[in-house]
Amino acid sequence: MNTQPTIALIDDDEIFQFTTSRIIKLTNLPFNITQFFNGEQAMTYLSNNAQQPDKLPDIILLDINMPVIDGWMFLDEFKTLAKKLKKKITIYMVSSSIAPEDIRRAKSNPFVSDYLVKPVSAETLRQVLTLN
Amino acid sequence: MTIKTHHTAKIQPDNKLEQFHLKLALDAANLGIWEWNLQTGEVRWSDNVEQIIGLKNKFDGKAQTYLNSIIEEDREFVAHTINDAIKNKIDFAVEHRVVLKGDTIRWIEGNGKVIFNEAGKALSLTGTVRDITDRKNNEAQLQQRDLLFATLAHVTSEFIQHANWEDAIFSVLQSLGEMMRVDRVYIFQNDATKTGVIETSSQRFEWNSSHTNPQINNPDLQNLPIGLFPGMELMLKNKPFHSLVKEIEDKGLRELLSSQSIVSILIFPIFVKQKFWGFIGFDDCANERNWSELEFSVLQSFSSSLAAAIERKVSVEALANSEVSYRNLFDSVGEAIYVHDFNGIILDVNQRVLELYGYTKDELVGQTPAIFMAEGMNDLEVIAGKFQAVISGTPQTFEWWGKKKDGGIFLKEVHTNKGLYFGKEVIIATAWDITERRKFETEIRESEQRFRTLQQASFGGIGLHDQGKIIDCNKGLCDITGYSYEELIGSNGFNLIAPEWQEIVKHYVVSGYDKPYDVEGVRKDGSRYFLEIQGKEIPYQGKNIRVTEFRDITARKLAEEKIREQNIRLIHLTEDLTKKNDQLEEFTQIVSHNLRSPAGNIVSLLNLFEQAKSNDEKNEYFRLLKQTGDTILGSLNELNEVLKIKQNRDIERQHINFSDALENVQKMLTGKIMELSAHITTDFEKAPSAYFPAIYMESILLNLLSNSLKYNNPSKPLLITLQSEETEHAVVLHVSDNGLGINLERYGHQIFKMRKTFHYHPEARGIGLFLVKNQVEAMGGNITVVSEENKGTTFTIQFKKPVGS
Repeated sequence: MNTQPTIALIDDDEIFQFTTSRIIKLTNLPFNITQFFNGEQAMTYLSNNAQQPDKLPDIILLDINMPVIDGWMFLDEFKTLAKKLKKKITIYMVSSSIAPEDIRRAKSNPFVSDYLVKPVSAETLRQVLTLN
Repeated sequence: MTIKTHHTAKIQPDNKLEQFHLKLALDAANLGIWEWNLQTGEVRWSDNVEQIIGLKNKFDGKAQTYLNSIIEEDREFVAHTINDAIKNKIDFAVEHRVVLKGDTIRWIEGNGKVIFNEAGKALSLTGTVRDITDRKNNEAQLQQRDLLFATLAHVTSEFIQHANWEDAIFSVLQSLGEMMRVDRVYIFQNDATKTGVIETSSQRFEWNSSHTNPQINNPDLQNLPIGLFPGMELMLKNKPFHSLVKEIEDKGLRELLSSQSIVSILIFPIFVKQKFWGFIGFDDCANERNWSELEFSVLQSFSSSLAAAIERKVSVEALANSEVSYRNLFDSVGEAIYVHDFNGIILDVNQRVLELYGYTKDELVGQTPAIFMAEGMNDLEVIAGKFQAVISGTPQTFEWWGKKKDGGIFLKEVHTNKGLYFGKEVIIATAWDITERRKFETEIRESEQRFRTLQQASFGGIGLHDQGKIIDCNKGLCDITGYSYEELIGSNGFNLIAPEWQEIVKHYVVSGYDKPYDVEGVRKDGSRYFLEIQGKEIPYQGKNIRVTEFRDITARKLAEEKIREQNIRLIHLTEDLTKKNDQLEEFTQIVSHNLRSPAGNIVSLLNLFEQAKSNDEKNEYFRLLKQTGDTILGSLNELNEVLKIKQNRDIERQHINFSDALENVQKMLTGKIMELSAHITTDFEKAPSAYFPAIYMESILLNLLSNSLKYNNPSKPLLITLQSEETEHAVVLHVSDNGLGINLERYGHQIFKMRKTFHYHPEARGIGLFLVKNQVEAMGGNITVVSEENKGTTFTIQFKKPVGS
């Protein structure tokens, strides 16, 4: 049985997915990485596995700017989903936007632990992973 | 005269002288003598007997013939009387009637003696006859006369005894009926009419003999036109009418009366106060009557008595009514009324006095006004003088402090005049409690004073007007309007208002509107000014008028105007700034999302590159770095394009035919259109062209069409419709498809943003609609979208029309 914690990356930017996965691996922290390339894909997965804690991620890095279901919409839907989830999931908003409006909005959301500005350094990632 | 002997039977006097004397005696007494032989039945008589009994030269000497000459009713009585005399051996005397030829009735008095033999057997009758007709008639007349006078006396006393003649009328009618030996007596009264002209008459009272049927309840005898009654011309002249029914000329009337078995009729008119009141009638249903002079005069006298009785009742009633109505009036008037004699003694007071003072009438009558006088508050000498003036015929008015029974004091105004009270000269006083009025008058005076002070102190113009006509105003109104006080008073206040506002002001005046409102005023010199008016209805000197305040609000209006202008300018400025801000925000977003994101990736890749341990790994990072560089360059190019659009607002515009532009675009998209067998229909008839930059038009059509092609619904053939129309300020183009559609509830806010895509389509880049929107808006137009998932999408673009077109 896999006892390692899981981090889920939700971002349509393939290069971001690639670099972030690589950085996580370089930290040598025992994390499984799950990649979702848009909000809808991630939401479907979480809904389907809401009752199975071992399949749910511990941490989500959520991009704002995505097609179809963007980060904000994902958070809206997560609000309803959270009650059914058998596991507490920590969400980090990850965006290249440095607009104060975006940062304020993210931080005021009760499900968001923090707002990370891209590019996310190895140091930041390590802190995020070890904090949990 | 000779004594005739019929056959052999003749009275033979003993000697000539004796015979002569007898004849003389008989003639003088108009006496006939006769002898009836009971044995033979033969009768002998002196020759004047035949004349007396009307059988001259006809008598056959038989006793039976004589008896037959007696009228039937009396015959048996005569026979009985004679038989009785024979039987009882006594003398007899009998009165009977005989019928002479020509139906004349004659009264005969017969006296007789029975002659007996020694054996006591009746041998013969002997006696006299005498014509007593004249005596009989005189007797009857005397009897009738007695009856007439007795009846008249009865009737008169009945009328005197009964205050209301109607209570006596039945007894009276009965007496009259019996006296006149008629079958019916009746009284008709003419019906009252509004005009006073008599039209109909109704039966009121009736008496009937036992031989006829009462007609009192006969409805036909009510409201009969007076023309129907016989002898009406005579009656209207207060003259009686009488007739035998068979002699009445009017056939209808004759038959009507005959049908009631009436044979003779007599009618006397009744005049009350010289007016034809009605009539009394007498019907005889058995005999043809010839009414005697006496009867006429007695009935005439009776009808006068009846008229007098009726008249008395009418007068009594009228008097009673008028007394009651005067008393009611007296008591119901709101003013207090007192009747004093010349010594001041109270004779009568009305109800109001009792209410005013709290006394009962008994407590006041017989007293002097001292009973309700407030001590020490009235100048009694002056009032006594007033009373004297009234007695000498000059009405007087004075004030009087009265005291109620409970001690309350109040002020009255008293008006006194001389009058008549039940025939006696009196002083009549009327009084009003004027305490309230005094108080009210004082208040009014004070309030008017206050009002005037206030008016003059007010800075605004105040005018009192009655439907526009100025009654009073203050100096403020003169100052505002430029007219003098004298010019304003009596003038039409509406002339102070600009003509185009007058109707509104009139409307407000009529409807009693009492809120302030703004109009324009005109001064005496014709100049205009902004004016605020506020009016209110107030009672003023007993009528409702309007007090209106004028406020010159020119300064305020100008300030308002300035503020409004600045407001508009500020709004424009704000709009402009908001637009610029929006654009800036949009750029920030574009920069952060579309440039920062790949830049961040470069940083990350470079970090990884540095840490790379193998060449393969380094090559991989390097490839990704190049790819990211291309992305940045692409984004920069797109951004540049948008910037160009935004900056290049003066790009040349021309009238572009929609069909021409569409043709070019269709050529570019031929492959895709053919692949999907897309059907494109157009309708540009209503607006064939738009004034727009050619390259933007093509860009817009290209983006919208390729969107439709890109997001087609694979389950049905694609249909694209382009349609144009024209509104007041714009040419409008609708581009519709039946494709996948967009959930606008979800994505509506993002649809025209850069890098926003809503389908996982490989070609979705999120730039097309962003460009379209920028191109449309840069030219002053706008674009909107209506869409429903799986139904299709319609974009509507408004191309601003060139100014002056």
